[in-house]
Amino acid sequence: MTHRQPLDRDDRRTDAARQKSGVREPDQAEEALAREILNNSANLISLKDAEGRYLLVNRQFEKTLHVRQEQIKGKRDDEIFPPELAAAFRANDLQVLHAGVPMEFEEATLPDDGAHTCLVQKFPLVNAEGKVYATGGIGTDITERKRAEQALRASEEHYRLLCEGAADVVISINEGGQLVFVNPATDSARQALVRADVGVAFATKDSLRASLQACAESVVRHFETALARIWTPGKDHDVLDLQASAGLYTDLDDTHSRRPVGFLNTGLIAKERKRLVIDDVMNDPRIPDKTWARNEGVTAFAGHPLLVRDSLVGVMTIFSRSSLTTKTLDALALVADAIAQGIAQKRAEEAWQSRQAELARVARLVTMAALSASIAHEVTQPLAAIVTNGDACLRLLASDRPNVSGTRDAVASIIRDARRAVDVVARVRALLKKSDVARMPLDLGQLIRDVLALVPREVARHRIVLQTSLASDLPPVLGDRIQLQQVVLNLLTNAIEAMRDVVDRRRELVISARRHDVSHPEAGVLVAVQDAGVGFERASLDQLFEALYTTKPDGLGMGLSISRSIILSHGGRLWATPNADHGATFQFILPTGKSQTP
Amino acid sequence: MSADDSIVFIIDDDQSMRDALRRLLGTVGLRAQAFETPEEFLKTKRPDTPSCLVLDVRLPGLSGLDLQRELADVDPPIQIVFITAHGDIPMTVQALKAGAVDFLTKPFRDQQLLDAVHHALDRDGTARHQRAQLAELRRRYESLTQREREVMTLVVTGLLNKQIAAQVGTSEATVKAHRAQLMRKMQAESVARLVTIAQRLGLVPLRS
Repeated sequence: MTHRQPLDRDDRRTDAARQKSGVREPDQAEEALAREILNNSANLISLKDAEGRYLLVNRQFEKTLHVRQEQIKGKRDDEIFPPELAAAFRANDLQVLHAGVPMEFEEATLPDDGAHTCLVQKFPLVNAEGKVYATGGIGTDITERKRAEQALRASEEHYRLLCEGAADVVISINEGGQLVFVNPATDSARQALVRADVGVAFATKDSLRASLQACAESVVRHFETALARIWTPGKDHDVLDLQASAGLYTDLDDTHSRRPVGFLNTGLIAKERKRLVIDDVMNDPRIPDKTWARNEGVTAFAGHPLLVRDSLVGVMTIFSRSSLTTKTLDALALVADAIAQGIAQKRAEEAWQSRQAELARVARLVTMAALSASIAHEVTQPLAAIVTNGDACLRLLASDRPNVSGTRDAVASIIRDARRAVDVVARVRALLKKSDVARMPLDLGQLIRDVLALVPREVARHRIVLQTSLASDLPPVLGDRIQLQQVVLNLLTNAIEAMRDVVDRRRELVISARRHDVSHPEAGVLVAVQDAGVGFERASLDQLFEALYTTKPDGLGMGLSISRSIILSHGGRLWATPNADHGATFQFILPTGKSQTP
Repeated sequence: MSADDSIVFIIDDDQSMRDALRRLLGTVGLRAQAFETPEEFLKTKRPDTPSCLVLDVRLPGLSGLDLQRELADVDPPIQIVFITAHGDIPMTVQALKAGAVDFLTKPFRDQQLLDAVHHALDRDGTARHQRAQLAELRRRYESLTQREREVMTLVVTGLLNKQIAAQVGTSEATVKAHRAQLMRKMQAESVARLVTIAQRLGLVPLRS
């Protein structure tokens, strides 16, 4: 190895690697090409022997470290570079020499224009005996990248300090809409967002349960909790019913859906009306199911009583996968307040509505009573006259010399009175039509879903396979919500009842709602309830809708008759057909709002 | 038992019903006079013959029950058969307590109505007879002299002639003569009969 001429023929000939590889020796042209490639590489390339003496460096190495090939060849790092740098270089080289495998290092250099950083791939060169005799290095100058990273870090730190100190909310959301950055003031933002959702939920959702579900979902979304649940006390305040559950579980009907007040954490919160926080779920005896917590990564629990003027209207509980700061807990308390207010307001609304409905019902009854008395009198008058005239006729005809002219008068009177009775009935009909309850546009699909929400227990108990097919483009129909709910509920319970004794086939119940032929005179919404039950004989089809007709052992036989009356009074039609295989299909058409107006 | 001059008054606001009732009553030879309102009926002067009233409960203006109350104070009283298309038990009880003969719900059987009407006419006939008897007794009583009335009052209290004579301040023979005279004028064949007459005239309290 000479120190004067890099890559000369003698050096190459002594190259053990070359000998080992057994390839033919490269000629002059090949050597020149290799040199060109080395010198044109943007990487810093060097070769040192086992003692650390430079055998070769390329042009980029010369350029970056401000050394010349001639100056560095045969020299060790400590003869060229400052001691700390040289020591670091040598230490890395030794690692590779010992390990005998390629390794990567980040090496700093200190040329005149400031600190440089190189990412260096160092590799051993092995001779025929398998001994490492040299190390090669291919370095990439990452000074610029490093500088950019540092600048970014400094900038982030700067903003972090700025954001955390700020009372304002700083949120960063990625394209997927997920929260990627929030500052601590965001706890106030989270609660503000949730409270906005709470307001919307209570204003737009029909039922308390649906409102609370939206609240729980908002808590999970904005506070990123694993589980959020809302409970409300039963009538006697001795039990809590699960009303909403979002996150890990959304089932409201599981075994945990009722909690006695005073029992377990939730019950305790209801009893003591105090916030309960468990920061270390895994080690706290108040969390019974540690396995569950471990599996779900749940670490903290917080429960807030929902209070309105010192009266308990519910409990909100959350499980979190990260510990809950005081700020977060305070924010949750504000959310709890908002939900409590919502519950109170909803309850008041419901009470008012049920009072209104009760009033309306009583008013209807009173009207009906007055009406029926009036009808009775109006109809009985002509009927009584008919009967009396009829009696007189018989007597007039019974004598030896029948009084023909008197009889004729009586019969004429009878006919007149019969006509009068018919008129009365017609007037009553017209009256009933006019006295229809207030109609409003209804989404039958939603109405059916509301009714279905009432029967899950029945469906489960009777092992019914329930299928729904509710079109999304249903036009609104004008109607009385309560009455139409009654009809749907009646048809559903009838269908369930009809399948009570079915054991040899699936108890399939299909409820569907779809738009009925728009061009048809009966344009509207068609609702069908199909069961696989016992069905009925075609012969009894007419009787089906008669009052007091029933095939059920404990039925009153009023349901279908009333249902049909309701549908008729809505300008619709209700009928039944036996299915080809099993059971029957009951269906009704209700006209859309447009054709309803006279 | 109804006399030929019996008359049945009808008050019903329904023309058909009035005609039908009149026709039905006609088949058994009963005369009927129909009115649309109680006021009309009250304005009419009733003949002094056995009569009764077939009255609808529900009427425009004065109701049937109101009319019944009003007629109770009128002399002579009238027997009422109520008919209604819409009766209830309290209404029926009230009507019967106030003296109604019957309370029929429309539509009723013809025989039911005719029986009720005949019953009412009978009652009216009996009442008329009693009223006539009383009038006759009063006429007889009024024909007595002051002294005869005094003696009659004392006789029906069970006093002997001697005692009466002492109380009136006359002789036993004089009392005996008055007594015979008043018994003849009152057409009383015995003291017992005289007592009954005195009771009917209200001269002595009814006492067992």
